[in-house]
Order: sequence, then C-alpha cells, then structure tokens
Amino acid sequence: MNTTELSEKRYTVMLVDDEESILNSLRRLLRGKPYDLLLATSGAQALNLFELHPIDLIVCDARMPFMDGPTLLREVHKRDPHCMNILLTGYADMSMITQALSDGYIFRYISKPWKDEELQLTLDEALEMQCVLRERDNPKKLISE
Amino acid sequence: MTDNKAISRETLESMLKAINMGVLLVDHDCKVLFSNHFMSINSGRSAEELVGRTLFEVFPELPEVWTRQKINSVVTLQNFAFTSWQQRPHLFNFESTRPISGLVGHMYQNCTFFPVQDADGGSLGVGLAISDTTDTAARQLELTHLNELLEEEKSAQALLIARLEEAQAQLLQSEKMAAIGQLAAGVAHEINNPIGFVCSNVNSLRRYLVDLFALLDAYEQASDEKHAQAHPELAAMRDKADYDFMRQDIDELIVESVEGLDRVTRIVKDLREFSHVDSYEWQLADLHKGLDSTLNVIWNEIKFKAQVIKRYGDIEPIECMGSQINQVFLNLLINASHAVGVDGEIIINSGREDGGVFVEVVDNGHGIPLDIQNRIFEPFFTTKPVGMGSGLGLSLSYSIIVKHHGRLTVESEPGRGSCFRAWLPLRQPQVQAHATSAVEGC
Ligand SMILES: Nc1ncnc2c1ncn2[C@@H]1O[C@H](COP(=O)(O)OP(=O)(O)O)[C@@H](O)[C@H]1O
Ligand SMILES: [Mg+2]
Repeated sequence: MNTTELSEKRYTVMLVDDEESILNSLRRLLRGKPYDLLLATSGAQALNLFELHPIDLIVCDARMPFMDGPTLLREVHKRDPHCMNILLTGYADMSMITQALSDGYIFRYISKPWKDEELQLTLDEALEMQCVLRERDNPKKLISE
Repeated sequence: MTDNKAISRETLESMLKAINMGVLLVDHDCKVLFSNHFMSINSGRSAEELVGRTLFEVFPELPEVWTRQKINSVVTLQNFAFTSWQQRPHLFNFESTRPISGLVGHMYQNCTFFPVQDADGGSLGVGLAISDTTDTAARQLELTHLNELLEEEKSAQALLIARLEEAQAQLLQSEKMAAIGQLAAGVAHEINNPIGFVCSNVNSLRRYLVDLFALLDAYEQASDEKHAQAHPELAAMRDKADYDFMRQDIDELIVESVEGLDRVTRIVKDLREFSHVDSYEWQLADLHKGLDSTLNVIWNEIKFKAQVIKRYGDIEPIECMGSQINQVFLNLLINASHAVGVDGEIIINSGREDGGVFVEVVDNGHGIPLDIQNRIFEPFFTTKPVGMGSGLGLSLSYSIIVKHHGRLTVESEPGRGSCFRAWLPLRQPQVQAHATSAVEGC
C-alpha cells in the first residue's frame, strides 16, 4: 500500500456510544490513525454532528436509549449512502444484524468485546471500500486526484 | 317367665322345631337325639332319618375328631363352645341363596355348642345351635374385597404421586436451568461493555508504555554526567520508585491482566452460548475441517502436553451448526489435555455408525471416578482449580449435541483414561420433515 497517499488522506470518523468509557477506549485505539474523530453519546447528538460535518465512517453502539444504533444508521444511510456504517453490538442478535446487513445500511458488525486488530482491520476495509465506491460514482474526482 | 303352666312341652317343642335356625341335640357319643325343621330342610332328610344315628353318619362333612373334642369339652366343662363362620365357614354342607346375586352357594354358619341337662340335672348331652350367617359373611367378604380394591387404588395413587413429584422436580430443574440461562445471558450482555473498553484500554496502555519507555531511554541517554550531578534528586527518585524492577514488572503485569481479561471473555462467551442466546445457521459441514481448525486454535495449549493422533474415518458432511459443533470439539480436546500427564496421548477417532457419524476424543489421562461420572455434564460441575475450569464445558457440549439430535456419552476408567464420544445424525429430523412436507405441498 502506498503510505504517502494514506498519510495525505484524512478521514472523518464518528464514534457513537452512550457509554463514554467505550468512546474513550476507541479514541485511544484510533489515535495513531489518520482520522479526525467526532464523538457522540446519543443518536440525536450524532445526527447533529452529521449535519455539520462530512463524515466518512460511523462506529455505533447498537443499544442506546432514545434512538438505538440501527435507527440512527438507517437515517444516516438515507442522507448519505456513501457513509460507511459499522454496528457495535453487546450480543449477537443475529436477526437484527442480518436484517441490517441485507437492508444495506450497515457495512459490517462487530461484537463487544472487540478485538483491537479486528476493529482496525474492519475500519481499513470499510474506508478502502468507500474510496472504490466514491470513485465509481464520481469519476471526475479520480482525475483531479 | 312367670306363667309356666300356660306353655306346654308340646308348644316348646314345636317352637324349637319351627325356629329359623338349626337345633340339634346329641348324646355323649354324638348320636342325634333331636333335630328341627331347619336341619331337615337344609339337609333334605326328615327328622326320623336323622334321629338315632351319629352325627357323622348323617353329616359326613363334619370333621369327626374336631367335633368330638368340642362335644367332650362341653360335656366335661359344662360350658359353651362356639365356632364362627370365619373359622369354619361351612360346618354343615348346606346351600343358601346369595342375597344380591341370587346365586346358590354354600351356606356360611355360626355354631354354638351348649350343655343340656336332663330333668334331674344330670348331663344329657350337647345342644347345637346353627345360625345362617350367609348375609353377614357376604357383606363382610364384599367389604374385605372392597378394602383390597381401595388398598390397591391407594398404592396406585401413591405411585402416581411419586411420579408427579418426580415430574415436578424435573420441571423445577428445567425452570431453574432456564432462569440460570436468562440470568447468564443478561449478565453476559452487561459485562461485555466493560470488558470491551477495559481490554482495549489495556492494549492502548501497553502501546503508550512502549512509547513512554522509549522516551525515557532517550532522556537517559541524553543526560550526561554533568546533568546527573546537577540533579541528584533524579537518581534518588529512581531508586525510591525501584525503577528497574518496575520496568520489568510492567510487562508481566500487562500480560497477566490480558490473560485475566481473556478468561473473563471466555467465561462470558461460554455462559452466553450455554444459554443459547446466540443463534447460528444450519449448514452442511465437514467435521474433519472443524476438528482441524479447532486443533489449530488450541494448539498452543495442547502441544506441550500431549501427542495428538488423528484416526479420521471416511465420513460425509453432516447438517449441523458448525461453530457450535466446534465448540464441543474444543471442550472435549481441552478437557483431554487437562487430564493427561507425562506421555500424554489424545486420539481422535471418527467414522460412520447407525446412519450417522461419530467422533471420539480418547485420552490416557487420570480418568473420571465412578461416583462423579453422572455429574460431569451438570452445569458448573468442575473438579478443576479456580481459573482452570468453569464447569460449563460439558454441559454446554451436551446441550449442543442434544440440540443436534445426537448423543454425547462417556466411558472412563480411573487411572487409565477417558473416551468421550459424540454421535450425530447425517440430517436433522425436523428440517427433513419441512423439506418433505414442502415437496408434498407442491
Ligand atoms: N477427559 C477427561 N478426563 C478426566 N476428567 C474429565 C475429562 N473431561 C471432563 N472431566 C471431568 O468433568 C468435569 C467437568 O468438565 P467440564 O464441564 O468441561 O468443566 P471444566 O473443564 O471447566 O471443569 C471436569 O472438571 C473433570 O473433572
Ligand atoms: Mg472443560
């Protein structure tokens, strides 16, 4: 992989979890990455931030009060289908996950407790995938880069 | 009676003859002196035929020895003797009509023997008063019979109650299991959040420390003797904090913490799978592949303890939830590796049997004492020290195999080793049922 290109490109990543300790640990894990991090502790806050910033990727807890993860991500997907959504779940609720995957509004799910390498790998894959999608849907950008 | 004269001998005699019970008078030799109508009617012989003969000539059914003893004792003691229908039901072989059924059967009798004196007060002989107790006997026997029936019913009921109690106990047990399962699932879910961030934080901490120590090393190298002399408090601080030890120990501290967290994670995962919260897909799976990948996962744990010998037979893919079956293999292999000592050997056999396939994990370890062989499948039953065993492995495995309509059995000889055997059908019955009904529906 071309590292210089990676270091040039920065991504905006939003982390959403009602538990701040989770947000902090994810923030620490992703510290060395070329990400601009946004943190939200509720679905409503996340949607506000989403309106203010162009966001490449969201990692979101499934179970949150008021607005749960799937609801938030479905809304995000409606507004920007290119935003890569990753669902964090405390337990493998397979029916909910398969539904979300087949409806296409999440890219992948990761169950808690996550493995750091696995999470990082998933994020890398998601962002790579997004590049491909954006290039496909917007070839002009490819030329300009 | 005050007015004796009013009643003649004839009157008394005719009364004796007419009374509705048998009356006999015999002398000391048992010769009949008097017999009434009752006796004639029931024996079919007239009084003339009876009188003058011995009792035994006219009533051959009477037990002679016994009767003579009775009569002698009455004569000697001048006292009553009695025999009831319970003791001798049919002393005289008479017939009688049963009260309810109307059937004719043997007449039940009570008989009283009483001394009879002549006019001078000398002993004349012995009187026999025979009463028909068929009614009473029939009722009594009926009651006894009913009692027996009741007794039988009672024991049947007792049996039923025992069964009910057993069923109730089983129900309680399964309810308890369900409750434990729910609790486990809830706890597991709640614990996953903190485990998630603690694990991740420990990893971040490890990375931070690497950077920090590199920085410290750089500082150390950069500071020359002059600088050290200028700041003696740095050396003192370093000594006080036991810096060299701390640096060494931090690695160990982190490794141990990560191991502890891995253990918590595994227990929670076991608990969750044990309570069937996670659902899995049914698919056709190659068990040998599953065994190999499972062996890979735990190779580090096994390789120093035992030699693993694979004796795979020729088996076809079976319909199962692969990840769950792997979980079973994992538990059996880990248990085997825990059981073996020096020269440990674990043999994995597989093959076809009974329209399905079997997989055996055989070890030459310490075996399982007979008295706990039926307990090892209970949840939380473990003989291992804290940290080595949760006691959930086999109960989880058992419920997985049962869910697959298979069997998990054990044979073990203490001191020689154990053999755990899982048998699984090629296809799942209810899935097949769906398939055929779908075909029929077409
Ligand atoms: N291969 C084996 N050899 C001897 N004992 C065994 C073996 N497998 C299981 N056991 C016994 O059964 C118990 C329960 O096993 P398990 O349910 O897997 O729980 P755990 O391994 O956590 O103790 C073990 O503690 C051990 O006493
Ligand atoms: Mg075990």
